[in-house]
Amino acid sequence: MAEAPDPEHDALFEIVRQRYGARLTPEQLDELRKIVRGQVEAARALRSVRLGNADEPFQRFAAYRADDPLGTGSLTLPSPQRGEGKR
Amino acid sequence: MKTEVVFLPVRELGELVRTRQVRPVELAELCLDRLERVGPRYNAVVTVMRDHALAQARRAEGEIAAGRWRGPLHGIPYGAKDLLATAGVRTTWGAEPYREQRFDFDATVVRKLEAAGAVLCAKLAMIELAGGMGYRQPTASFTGPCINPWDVQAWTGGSSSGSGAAVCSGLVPFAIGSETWGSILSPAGYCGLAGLRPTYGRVSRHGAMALCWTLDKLGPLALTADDCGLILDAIAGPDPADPTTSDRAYGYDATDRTGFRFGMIKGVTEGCEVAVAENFTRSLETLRTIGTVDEVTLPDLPWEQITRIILQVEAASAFEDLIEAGGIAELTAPEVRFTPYARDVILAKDYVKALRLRGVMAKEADRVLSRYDALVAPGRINEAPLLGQEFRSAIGATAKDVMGAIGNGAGLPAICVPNGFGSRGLPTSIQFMGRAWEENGILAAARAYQSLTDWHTRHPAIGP
Repeated sequence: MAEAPDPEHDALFEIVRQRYGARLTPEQLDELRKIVRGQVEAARALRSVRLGNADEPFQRFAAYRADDPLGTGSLTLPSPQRGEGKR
Repeated sequence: MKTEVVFLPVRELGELVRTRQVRPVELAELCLDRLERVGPRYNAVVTVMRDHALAQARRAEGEIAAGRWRGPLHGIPYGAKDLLATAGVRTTWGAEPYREQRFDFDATVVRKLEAAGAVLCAKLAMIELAGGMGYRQPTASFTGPCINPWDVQAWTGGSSSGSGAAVCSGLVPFAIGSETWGSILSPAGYCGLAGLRPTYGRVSRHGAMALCWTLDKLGPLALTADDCGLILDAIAGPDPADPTTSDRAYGYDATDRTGFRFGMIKGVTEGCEVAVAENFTRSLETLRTIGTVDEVTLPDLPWEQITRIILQVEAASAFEDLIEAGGIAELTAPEVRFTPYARDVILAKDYVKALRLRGVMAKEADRVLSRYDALVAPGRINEAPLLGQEFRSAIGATAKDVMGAIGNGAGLPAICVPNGFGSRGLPTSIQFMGRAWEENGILAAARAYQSLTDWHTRHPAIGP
């Protein structure tokens, strides 16, 4: 049975197709279409949960300066030692 | 030296080393020989570090002979998942595009284990890029699928696959793995080992491949829960090079206790294989001899979607260059050569919503866990999948894993230990998940369970 039309899914899948379609086979595009549909469904599950204005992302952020005598313990910066670069 | 020594827990082995009944050099040579000779049977090893290991072992032997014993890991061989940087030795991340990658420094975990006197013998195989691209079958590493020592037709689990295979087959007494979602508990469960996922921020990830900045954790796989505690004691602690590490001190408390309070999420065995559910029911009977077991309910929230979206977006960002340049076409698993492209269209607003819901998740999990020493559940829903089999995965949305979604999404500690065998003769497991920073509580519970069972004393027939 054909899946019901879903403009959000179709629009998002079209971005993937435009961006990477030249690299992909028809079978891979079909697979990506299903994956995007799953992503949209997951996103809708999140959107269905109501949160309050004060419910912040559970992600620490701190203003940064290199010479901060108190340190910046809550700061996460991209780190070459975490794997970026140095190949 | 008798080969049986390789199946001794670290605590016992450490005592033999301390009392000089076993010499670190002969122990390292035994493990190196097994890594070179037995390791290939299971595709467990990427690089054997013979010269490095023997140098560390000779140093340990000299120190112990001079009366300078550093602790229970002194002179004990181990292996590291090949996503931990080690100076002078390639660090492949299990992936073809990085198979010659080298770093000029050691990961903090490697340095801490060196300070504890442990002997690094090998870099161990893993699922390419720690599975973050969405693999669906065991052949997702440039070194081939890791083969389960309990059954050569079965997989070890992943992504810390080689860490599981190596400890299970007695190549090394313990190994370090990583978990973003399931990558320590999966190989521990499928291989019949103890695997500890520490609290997020307990162990420095400096020098570890970044897959998901807010989900990645490092932890041990070993023969017993007690061993996991000894190893965590050595690797835990703050690290200026990883600002996500906590200043909270950690010391392993091996004091035995009883009177535990266990919780069990309602319906936690739904979707499990029959033998997994039966073994879990038997485990609950054992747990009731050392405590109480209550059924608990959680609010109806999209737990798995929260953690999955965070994982998919962060992994896509961490490997943005590789994905956009088409480098993923060089990966081994056919499905991951193109499926990450879909992540380009997960909306920023939805990712932020997942981060906001993560706060709800963390509070709800803590509210429930504050009444218990641990939530218990089957470690895995099944016995190890067959090598040629596509498996079900919560990350791929083809299986449920509420415990894994909450545990990893909220950064909570969990330990998995064996609790029997399934219909195909492969290990099944039980997991204990605790409040943040309560590793000692779940370790005590798992130790108490292991004191009443003998599943952890059984090992596969490896042969010479």
